[in-house]
Amino acid sequence: MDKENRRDLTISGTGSANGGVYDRLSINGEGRIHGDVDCNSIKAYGVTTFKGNIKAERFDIVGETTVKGEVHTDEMKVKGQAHIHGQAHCQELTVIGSATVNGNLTGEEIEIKGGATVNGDCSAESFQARGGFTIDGLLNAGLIHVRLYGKCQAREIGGETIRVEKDGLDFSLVKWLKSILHYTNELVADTIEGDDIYLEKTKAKVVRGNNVLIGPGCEIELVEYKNHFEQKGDSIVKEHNQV
Amino acid sequence: MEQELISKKDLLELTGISYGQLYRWKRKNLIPEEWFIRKSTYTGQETFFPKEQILDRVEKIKNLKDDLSLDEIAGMFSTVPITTALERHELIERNIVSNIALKLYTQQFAEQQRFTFKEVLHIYILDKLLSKGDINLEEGKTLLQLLHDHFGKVEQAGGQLIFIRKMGVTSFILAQSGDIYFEEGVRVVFTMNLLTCIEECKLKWHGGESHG
Repeated sequence: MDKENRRDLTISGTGSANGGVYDRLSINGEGRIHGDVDCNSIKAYGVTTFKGNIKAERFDIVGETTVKGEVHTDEMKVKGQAHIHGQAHCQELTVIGSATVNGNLTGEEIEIKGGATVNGDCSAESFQARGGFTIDGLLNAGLIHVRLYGKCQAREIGGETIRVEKDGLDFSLVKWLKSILHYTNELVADTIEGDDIYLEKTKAKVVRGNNVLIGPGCEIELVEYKNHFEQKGDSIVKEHNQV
Repeated sequence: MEQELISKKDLLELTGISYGQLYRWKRKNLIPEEWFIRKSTYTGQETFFPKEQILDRVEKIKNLKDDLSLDEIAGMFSTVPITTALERHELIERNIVSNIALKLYTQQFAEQQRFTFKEVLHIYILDKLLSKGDINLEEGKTLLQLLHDHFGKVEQAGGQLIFIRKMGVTSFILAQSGDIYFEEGVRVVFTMNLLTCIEECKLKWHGGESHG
């Protein structure tokens, strides 16, 4: 349908609707959408369940949203809680609250400031995290930049530039708070492979790359590097080989 | 048949590509997901690839990447069909197929001005065999009919086209990959890998667009 001739749909209070093609879809309160939707923009402020697939240019989630199908968006912001049962493709995704994707998550730019769980693979040109994440499959991105403000884990990590840094919270009071709250901030992965790799506070079985720099707080069983290898601080690297 | 595998490490060493490149090509769907085979080894899980296919693919990507964008290359390897069509004169001017093959096709089916990728692919296969001198015009007609009737069933599965001759009588066979055995006295004139054909044809189809 012509993008100009679309109508709006608003649910305020409690309501349900079938799917369809809309310009703006907004839900304030409790809403259920039964079929597939194709919208220019979606704003979900309350508790919302989408039973079908979603196609939207913009998708903003402030409340608690469940999508049973797949999501295809240009720009998606999760400030509340999102649970996507299918695959998700977002050109730009920002997660400030928490997001769970049962399928694969793909995109151009993914930014995690809260928490994210992906049961499949996650791939993007740029993946930036300042929160925690769990990726059951492969995290594959051109640029991976992780600042550790929580527990981060992925089965495999691969990309061009991979940089993992610990948080900046190193004051003694914060350290004491961390210890009583059992706060862990580290990255755990089976394998990490890339061209240029810098790691802090990372536990991995194998790290492979052209240039590998192991910073403080790491435990790595095996490093295989092509050009350059360096180890700093109190890190443990059991074995390192130039290949 | 057990296919020969190559580890990721050996692949990178042999081809000179980096981890970053490999992951980038995977993201861009230049290398199919099914080719990443995870196996347990003494260092934990390792990734292996079907050796012949991956080496061939990496070689092709390396040759193409200076002229085409990664998305264009991905389109070429994709099994998702091209939905656009080309005009008759474009096919000739851009040297995708020869006039003889095109004429044979329109005589057999219908006079038309626009050709879909599927139609062009059939003409391309015909043209390739005609120009090599493997088949004659009469056999070409039989081939077109066979492709028209059954090609769709084997193209996804990596099928092959086999041309046999016995006592001067010729015959075409379209088969899905697997072993095929012939009776004594049958001479296999050629076996053609259809996936390779599709890739070549796509390259011709796209090639002219980006250069002209």
